Amino acid sequence: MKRKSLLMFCLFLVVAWLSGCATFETEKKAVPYRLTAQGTVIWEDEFEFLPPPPDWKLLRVETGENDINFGFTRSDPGTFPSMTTFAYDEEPFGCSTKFEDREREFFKRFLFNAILQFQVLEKKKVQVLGAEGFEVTVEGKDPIKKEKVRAKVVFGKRGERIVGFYITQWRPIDGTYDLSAFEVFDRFVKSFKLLKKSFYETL
Amino acid sequence: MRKKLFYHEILMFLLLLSLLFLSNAEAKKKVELVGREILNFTLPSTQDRVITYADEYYGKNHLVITFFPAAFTPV
Amino acid sequence: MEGHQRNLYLYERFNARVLGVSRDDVITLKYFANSLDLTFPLLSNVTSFLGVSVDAQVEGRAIFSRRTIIIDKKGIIRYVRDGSPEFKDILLFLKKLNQEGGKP
Repeated sequence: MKRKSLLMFCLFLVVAWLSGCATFETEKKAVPYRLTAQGTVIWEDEFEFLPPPPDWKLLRVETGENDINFGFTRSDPGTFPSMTTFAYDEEPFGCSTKFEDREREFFKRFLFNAILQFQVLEKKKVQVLGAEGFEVTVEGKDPIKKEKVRAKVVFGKRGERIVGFYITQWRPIDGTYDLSAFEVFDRFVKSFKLLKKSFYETL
Repeated sequence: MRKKLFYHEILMFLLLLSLLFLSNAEAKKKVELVGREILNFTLPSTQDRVITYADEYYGKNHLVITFFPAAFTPV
Repeated sequence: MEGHQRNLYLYERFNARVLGVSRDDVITLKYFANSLDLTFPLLSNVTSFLGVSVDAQVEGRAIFSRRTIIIDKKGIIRYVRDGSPEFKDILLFLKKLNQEGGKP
């Protein structure tokens, strides 16, 4: 009996000590977006945009540097790796606040692990987020794995910093691209609005 | 046999307590660093020159230093 | 390190500078800095004395652990965080430090 009481007391001490360090998650995480009557999505009260059609699934990254904020993905008909993904990224690869330099820095790292031979299809100035932006369309091929990707990257400005939108569409090397997915992406980018200042703009 | 088990349980408990104390000690170490003076260091840099704290930053700028394990690893 | 490079203009605003330090040799660090287009210095602390002085050198290991410290203008350590740098946290701290005028 004495031993049992001592054991219980020891256990109580340990639990009391640990309770200062850890808590049980009792709250459910709130959904980070809401739909408006106009059919747009308001994301974390910070962004507003037109969502893609229902066959696109939401992609969301909780934490981590060099990860997208959120995006959408869709499996396409055909053999692996037929899929299309697009995303918004507050901090695309690179550091420069100038579009041309950022483009060069970005493509050093973009799809680095895929070991692709990139070819620039188009580069042009565009209007994005209500100001001048920069758009680059590329195609990358991997003749070893027999895969290819068509990608479009749009750089815009949020305050002094550059933000990015990108879409990648993967296909087998002899597959055909579906450019209608790129129209969905273009609509997303065109509709994208910043609803408040970023953290960095408030410093 | 019972006595052996009892002492074994006490030993486990003491081990657990000591682990908790250690983790607390690490937190205390971090707090102790705050308020200490930085060493006046001189080290070679990637800008083809040695950098000495006293010459470049002391009295002029606040300084952020990130220590990282190795080049070409995530920092 | 890219995070530091992106925030350089804000560090400048708060009268701060940034350094990266590892136990690599300078040549390796130069290649690393070039790969990330860094314009701030990385320091080579092969003998680890600086890392040891701020407890960033784990006993028995040949490399530093990840740790960020902030030193005010008077050479006093004011901030210590383990793990990858928390850039927003660093910026808020530098803003506060700059407003203080560096008073401990």
